[in-house]
Formats: sequence, C-alpha cells, structure tokens
Amino acid sequence: MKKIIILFITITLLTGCYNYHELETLGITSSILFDYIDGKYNLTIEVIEEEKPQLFKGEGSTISEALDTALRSSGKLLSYYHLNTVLVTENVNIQEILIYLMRNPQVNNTFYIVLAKEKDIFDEKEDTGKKLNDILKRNKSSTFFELSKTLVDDKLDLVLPIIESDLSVKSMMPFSNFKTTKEMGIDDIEIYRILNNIGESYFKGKCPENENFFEINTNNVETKIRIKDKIEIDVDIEASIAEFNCSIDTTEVKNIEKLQEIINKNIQNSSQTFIQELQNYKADIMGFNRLIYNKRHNLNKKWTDYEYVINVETHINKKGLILK
Amino acid sequence: MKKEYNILNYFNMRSLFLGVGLSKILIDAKELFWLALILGTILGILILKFIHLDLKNKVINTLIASIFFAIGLTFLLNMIATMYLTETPKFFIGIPLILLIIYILSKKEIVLFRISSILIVINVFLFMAMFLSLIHSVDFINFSYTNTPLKNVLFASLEYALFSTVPTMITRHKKFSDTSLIKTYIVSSITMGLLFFLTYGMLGPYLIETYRYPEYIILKEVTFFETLANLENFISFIWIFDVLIFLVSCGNTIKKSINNEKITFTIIILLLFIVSYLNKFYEYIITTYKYTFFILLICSSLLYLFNRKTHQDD
Amino acid sequence: MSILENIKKDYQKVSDLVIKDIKSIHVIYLETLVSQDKINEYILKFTNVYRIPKDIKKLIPSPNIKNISSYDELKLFLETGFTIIINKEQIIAIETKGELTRSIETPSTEPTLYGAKDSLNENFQTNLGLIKRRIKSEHLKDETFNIGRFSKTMVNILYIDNIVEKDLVLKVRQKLNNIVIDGINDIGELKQFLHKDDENVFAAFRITERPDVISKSLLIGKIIILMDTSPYALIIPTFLADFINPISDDYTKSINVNFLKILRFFCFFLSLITPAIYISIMTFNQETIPTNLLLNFQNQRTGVPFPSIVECIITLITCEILRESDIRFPSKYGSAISILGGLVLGEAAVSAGIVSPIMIIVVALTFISSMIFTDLEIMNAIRMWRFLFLLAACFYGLYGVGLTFIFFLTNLASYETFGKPYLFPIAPLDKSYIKETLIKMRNKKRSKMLSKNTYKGEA
Repeated sequence: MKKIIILFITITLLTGCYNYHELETLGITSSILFDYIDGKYNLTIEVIEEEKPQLFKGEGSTISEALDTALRSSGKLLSYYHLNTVLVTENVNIQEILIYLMRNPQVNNTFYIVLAKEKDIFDEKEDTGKKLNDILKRNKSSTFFELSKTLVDDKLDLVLPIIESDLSVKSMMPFSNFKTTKEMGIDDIEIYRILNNIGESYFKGKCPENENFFEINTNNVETKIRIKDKIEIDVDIEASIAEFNCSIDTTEVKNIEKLQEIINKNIQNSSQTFIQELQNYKADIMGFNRLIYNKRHNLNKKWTDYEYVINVETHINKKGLILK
Repeated sequence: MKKEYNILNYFNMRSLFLGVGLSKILIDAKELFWLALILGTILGILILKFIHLDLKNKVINTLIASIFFAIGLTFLLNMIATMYLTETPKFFIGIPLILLIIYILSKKEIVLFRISSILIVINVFLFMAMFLSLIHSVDFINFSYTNTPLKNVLFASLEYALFSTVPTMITRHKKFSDTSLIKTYIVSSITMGLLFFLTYGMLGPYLIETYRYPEYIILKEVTFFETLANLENFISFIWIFDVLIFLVSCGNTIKKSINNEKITFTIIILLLFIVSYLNKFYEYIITTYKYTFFILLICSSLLYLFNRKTHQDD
Repeated sequence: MSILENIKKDYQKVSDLVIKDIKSIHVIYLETLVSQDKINEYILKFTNVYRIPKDIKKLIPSPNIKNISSYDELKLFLETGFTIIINKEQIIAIETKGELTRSIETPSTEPTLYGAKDSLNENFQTNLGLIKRRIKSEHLKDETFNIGRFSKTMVNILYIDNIVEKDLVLKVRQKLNNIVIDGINDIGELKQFLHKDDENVFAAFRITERPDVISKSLLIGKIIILMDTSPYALIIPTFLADFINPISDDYTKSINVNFLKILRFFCFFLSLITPAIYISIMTFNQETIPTNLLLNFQNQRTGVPFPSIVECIITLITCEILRESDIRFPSKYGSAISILGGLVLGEAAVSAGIVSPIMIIVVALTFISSMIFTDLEIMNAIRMWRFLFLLAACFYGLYGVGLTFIFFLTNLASYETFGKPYLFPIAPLDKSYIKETLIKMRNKKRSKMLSKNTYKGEA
C-alpha cells in the first residue's frame, strides 16, 4: 500500500499538468462580432480586463483562422465559458457559426445571438456584452440552447432580434431556410410573444366615445393551436388596465365588455396580418409544420396552404388601486 | 450482505449506458422509448430469472472479463478526455484510475460492498438534484410523431435488455437468490426511464442525433439560484462512479478465477497500455461504439455456454 | 529474618527506607511514599500494648490489610506506599499512601457548557471512585495488570459483565499480558501494543478525561482501560462516528442538537475538501464560478508572483506553524504572540503581495471548520488527507478530487479495530448506533455489534 502511494506521487510529478491554466492567463470574452466581407471573416472580440473591455480584431478565411489572428496581440488564451452575446451581421452564414459553437465543449449554453445592423456598437468604457445580455434577458429572447434546435430541425425556422446602434431592440428578423427576409416591427414582436406564450406585453385600444387611447397589460396568456380543416388558434388573455383616458364608467359590466371587444378585434386583425406576412416570406418561425406532421403524419398539405382562424378572448379582471 | 450485493449490481446495471447505450436506444426508438423500455425490462427479467450461471471455467472467465474491462475503460477514458481534461493524453488519465482499481482489489471483497453502499447515497442525491432542477425545461412538443418503424423499437428493447443484464453476469454467486436482484433491476429501470424522459424531453428527436453525449449536454442547463451555473462537471460524477464500480467488479472476477494477486495486477496494467494505445486510432473508437451490442451478445453467450449450471446444485 | 536481611541488602543506598523495630515486630516503609499521619494512627498507636498477639491483624484497625506470600509481592507493596509489618512468621501490608496528587479539577481538554465538571486525576483510587459513583452495580468488573519491569504501573480493565462481548475482553487481556517493556509513562504508550500503529492515519482509540463519557461508553458495551499516574482513559473499540459529537448533546433538546450534528458532519468534509476544490475550480474548471466573482478574483491575483498551488501550500503551512506555537508557548508570557501571527497572515501578507485575499478566506474557513473537533488525533489525520487531496487537485483537477475521495473511503472502509469495521454505523448500516452518535432520537436497544444483550429498558 505504501509502495502504491510512492508510485502515485512520483508518477504525477513526472506528468506535468496539461490542463492547468492560471487565472491571469485567461482572456474572458464577453461578446464576439462576426462579419463576412469579400470572402473573409472579420471578427471583433471583446475581452474584459480589470473591468475595462479591450477589443481585438482579426481576419481570416475560416472562423478559427480569424480567431487566431485576433489574439496575436494579446498574451492570453481565449475562454468561452462566460460568453454573454454573439453578434452577427446579415452577410454571415449562420449555420456555420452555430455548428462551430455547438462542437466546442468549452462553451456555455446561456448566451444570446442577435443581429447587428452596424458594426460600431462597442463602447470603450463599459462592457457591451453584459449590457446586451441584460437587455435581451428582459425581453425574454431565446438562448443558444433553444436556437440550436432550429439548426437540426427542418420544420422550424430561426428568428433573431435586431440591435440598433443605441442597443435597443425594436425589430426582429425571421429567417427562411437560413436566409434573411424582411424586418418586422415592434407590433409584430408583441403578437409573436403572445402567440408563443412568452411574458408580458401591452396593447392599445381606442376608446369608444372619444379619440383617446387606453392601454392594458397582459398578465397570463394561454395559446392553443389546433389543426383541423383550418388551423385554429385560441388565445386566452388575462389583463389589467394600465392607462385609461376614456370617460366611461368602468364599474359597469357592459362597459368592460365593450373594452374587451375592442382589444379582441385589435389582436385578431394584427395576428392575421402577422401570419400573412410570414406566409409571404415563407418563414415558419411558429413551427406550424411540426404540428401538422404530428397530427396528420405527412406533409402533403403544408402550412402555407391552410387557412387560419384566430379567436381571442380577453378578461380584464384587474384595475389596480383605483375603482374607476 | 445480500443488500450490499444488490447495490453493487445496481451500479453494474447502469454502467454501460454512458454515451453509447443512452444515445443508441433513443436514436433507434425516438418517441416510443417508453415502449422499448418496458419491453426491455420484461426481457431482462426473463433473462435474469432463467439463465443460471456458475462461474467455474477459469480461462473463459478471465478472457471475457478482460474484454469487458477494456470496453469499460474505453468509455471512461473517452468521456473524461472530452469533458474534464481536454488536453491531457489518455494514458495519463488512466494512470490514477488503474492505481485506484489495483488498491481496491488488494483489499477484501467486503470492502467493495461497503463502498458501494456509501456511493449509492451520493448517486441518488445528485440524481434527484439534477432531476428536480431540470424537470421544468421538458417541452412536450419534443414528443411529437416521428416516422419510426416498429422493428427499430424492438431492436432498441433488445439492446436495453442486453446492456443492462450482461454486466451482472460477471458477479454471479451461488448463494444469493434471484428475487431481490429482480427488484433491484426494476428500480434501476425506473431511474433509467426517468433519465430517458428527461433527455428526450429536453433535446427532441433531431438534437439527439447530433450530440455524442446527450446526458452531458442537458446538465449544462442546471442552475441554482440563478448564479451557480455550469455544474455539469460536478454532477457527471454519477457516471464516473458507475463505470468505476463496473471496472472493479470485472477485476474482482479475474482475481477470483486466477487466485493470484500479482498476475491480476499485471493483466490490468497491460490492459491499460493496450487500450490507451488503441485509442489513438479513430477506427477502434468507432467500431467499439457501433458494435458494442454484438460484442456483448457474443461474450454473454460464450459465458453462458461454458458456465452453465449443473442440475444437481441449487 | 532472612527476609529482613534480603531487604537490607537489596535496598542499600536507598535513602528513604525506614525500618522500625517495636517490641517484636518490624515496621518497614519508604518515607517519601507514605503519609506520616496514617502510620501513627493505624500502627504506632496500637503497638503500645504489653504483648503483641500472634495474629497482628486483630490489633490493627486499618481498613485495607493484605497478606503477603512472596518476596516479589513484598517489594511491590513496599514500593506502592504500603507499610510492611513482619511479625515472626506473619507478613502483612497496610495501606498508608500519601497524598501526592492534585485535587479534582474541571476538564481542560474537553470543556462543555452543560454537564458535570469533574475530570479524572492521576490517582487511581479517585478515578475509580468517580466512575463507581455513576455506575452502582456489582456487574462492573475490573481486572488489574502490572506493566513495566521498573515502573510496575497498575493498569485496569473495566467492563460491565452482562453487556459486553466476552471475546473482546479475552483479546484485550491477551494483549496486555504479552507486554514486555522497561517502563511506561502514560496511557498513550499502551496504544502501540494493543493495535498496529502504522496501519492507518486515523486513531484506533479514543482518549477521554470525563467520567460521564466513560459511564456512557460502559453502558453501551465498550471496555475502558485506566492507568495509575495518567489522567486519561482509553475506550475500546472506537468508530469514526464517536469522534464527531461531544457528550453535552445528550443533555439538551433534541431538535436543536440534530441541526448541530448535521452541521458538524458537514464541517468534517468541508475541512477536508475546501482547498482542493478551490484549486481545481480556479485553475481547471473555471466555468463554475459566476462571472462577476471570476473577474474579481482575476483582479485580486494580478500582483501575486506565485501560482495558486504554491500560494495555497504557503498559507496552509503558516497556519499549522501558528497553531503549533500557540499550543506550546505558555500563556503567561503574554498574548502578543497570537496577535503577531494574525498580523502576519492578515493585512501584511496581502499588502506585501505574497498572497491574495481570497486564499486567506479559504484557509480560514478550513481551519475554523476543523476546530470543531476537540480530539487531537482527528485533526492530525484530517491534515494529512487535506494535503493529499490538494496534491491530487493540482495535477488532475476535479477528476483527481473524485478519485481521491474514493481512495479515502476505501482506506476507511478497510480499517478494522479489534475485528469491528471503522465506518461502523454507516457502512454496515445499524440504526441503533446511529441514534447514539450521529442523530439524537429515542433509542431502545443497544447495537448488536457491541453486545448480545440488546434490551435496554425504558430509554
């Protein structure tokens, strides 16, 4: 038994530590920007050092070559364990980047991917990647793990949020077979979130008597999609009143029902236009093909051939602290 | 003693599912994995009940136990080389493992039973922690219809039965009865079923085919209190303990049939050299992963043929 | 008379031998070991009669008189402080021991808040008396051995007759009978004769100085060894679960105590593994640390010239030096020494750039959780394993820590003292012994491993 311990100790002293990296030698990346110009990848890497970010740029015909050239001027090893965001531009082939990130065993699964319109987003003074991470978390976008499903499933398409130059999210871009289509604005984002059971959103409606607007916040959303001769979408919303500028009495049930009717019609019309647009772009971001295949066991009739019927029911059951 | 013997076999029944068993069964059966699991369990119970072994043929026992040892060592070395220590050569990863196995084999047999009864508490605790923190990410849309033919499901059930009962054939003793072993088998099938459900529910039918170690990828989603993330290297100890106890059981069989400690230790060290040399070639790894089922079938039938129980003993 | 001449010849140049001739008897004693008052009261007063009877025992009212049959026995009694009276053919010994020990004091190494505050002492009679006050039964037996050619120390085995296992008593008796040694000073030296010393780092025996611990162990079925001139008692057999909890748990409310017991069990592992996990997380698996903490650590380590592992070893060894010097140095010389030690490790080392602040927190956590155990043997054993875990983590990371953990478990699981496994209540699972040590619950039976008489009466 003693000989085994001595053998163990001498052998481990001769092996050397291959995976031993001190903390100072690591470059902790917060975000990476991928761009593709003239047949070459252009990368910008943001590395955090003593609470100030540093930017490194690199070029290469493949992703690995570009990463390698970017780091020649720093004495550090890249570590992707704490990636916050990955930014891509429209020229890049998203599939290759997703596959490269999926293959690496040293990448975490909780970063976000966004589409950037301009390349000068990085700020020298603060950590852009972390800020974007907080913004996207509040918007409840989907992380890398959920987006990786779209890579292998041919019945689901990718959708990415778009970042403006002041780091705000005002539009989203649906992809059709990994090619970009047209942007969709904020109203479409709200409808997309309602149809996918994500989080809270708000809706405006016009008052029945005068020209003012009132606004509701949605608390609980339940969407069910059923496939029969036509695809039926049932949306059930529980809402609370946020802002109210009309002059009707909200303590009477009839008035509340009127308000609910207005909101129902709003959402129904917006949803119809949203789905119509998606059909024009042929971007199946909602996954209708998957549901059709699950029910009918074949794809003879695709999602573009169906008609859509949308029923919305709103229940305004909270009014806040004010009676009226 | 009987209880601890069953706990040892609990580890043995789960050990070959790491990387190879889990992904093969889920890829073959897709969303009908529950059917494959139930059929496989019934088949396994029949195998355990009606195949009686009495390990006495020394040459065959040593040979087959060495083959199982080599297979288990391949799985473990490859798993650790991709997850924990990515830049270390596989030979150096194997050195402390082999030293530990030799140390455990130099003690009495009862020590192995005591260790396994402590390790099972840690395993169950880690498994419950993993299960309870991942259950909310299961998406029922992933269980949708895929066009799998029925013969794939039957083949998957045969695979499950073989992967889980063959390692227990090595540790058969005359004195312990079979009914409590069947209870252990049912319990291990239930935990395997929960793991299948979790893995398939989080990844879906298409991602299962892309990843090599799907049970490791889903561990990346475990978070506690939104700060402690990326605990996959701690929770993967479940698999390391499983395969380690399987390797020690194989070594125990070799030691019992040869009855000489020094020759056993030299055989084990030789196996380390052979396996780490063969792992340099990619064809060896691929054939082991693809044809494990057939290797297990051949070896288990050889074991049965030569060690059949004579009718006079009971 | 030949006996008298033998005594005079053997005890030449021994300055404290006194031989008194009164009428027809000879009174022999060693002056330094006896108390003069007792000799006057028991012997010399009563020899003032006209004629001394044949059986002198009728005359002398002392409570402890022994008959002597051999010359060796005479020498033994003479050297223990007895007075020898030679009356023609009759030789008797009368107990007149002097008070050469201190009084009963509070326990110095095992203090508790609640419970009795008396502790064992160097006098054998006092010790036995303290134990017999707590167990008043005729089944409490003790057997005497005299060990050492020159020291002839009295060593006793105590056990309760109808509870303990007879095989165990036989084994201990055999081992004590086979001891051949010149002299023995303390009960710690007996340990190497009773069990092989270099088999394992963990201790096979438990040492205590409190009589309530002794009485509790006797009632479960253990054997106690007491020695004259030693204020400690040895408990046989011992398991790992005995070292973790103090005796005062039995005297307080069970639900509060169970929380503390779980905490102590957790601290056992914390003091073993913390430096190893810290090193493996910082250098091999950095993904486990949350991002903000990681950036903080990176900032703190910028000025430090050593790699993490060297830093860790330096701090651990400095803490060991501090602890050792704290025990040795007499406290009367002032408490400035420990302040100096604290300063060395604290601000000064950090601002000089030798260690980083996070390392000091990790090492402080390790030491604080190891101070929960009062037994010195456990602290020493944990220190050895802590360094081994650290070495494994430095070369192989988290994988090495896992393998070393299994090595640790195997080492403990294969250790057996007197035929009983060391990890007893956990590895062969036994509920009644767990209720004694690890978790406090109502316990109606004694455990089968230690006694065949498992009926305990109302608990």
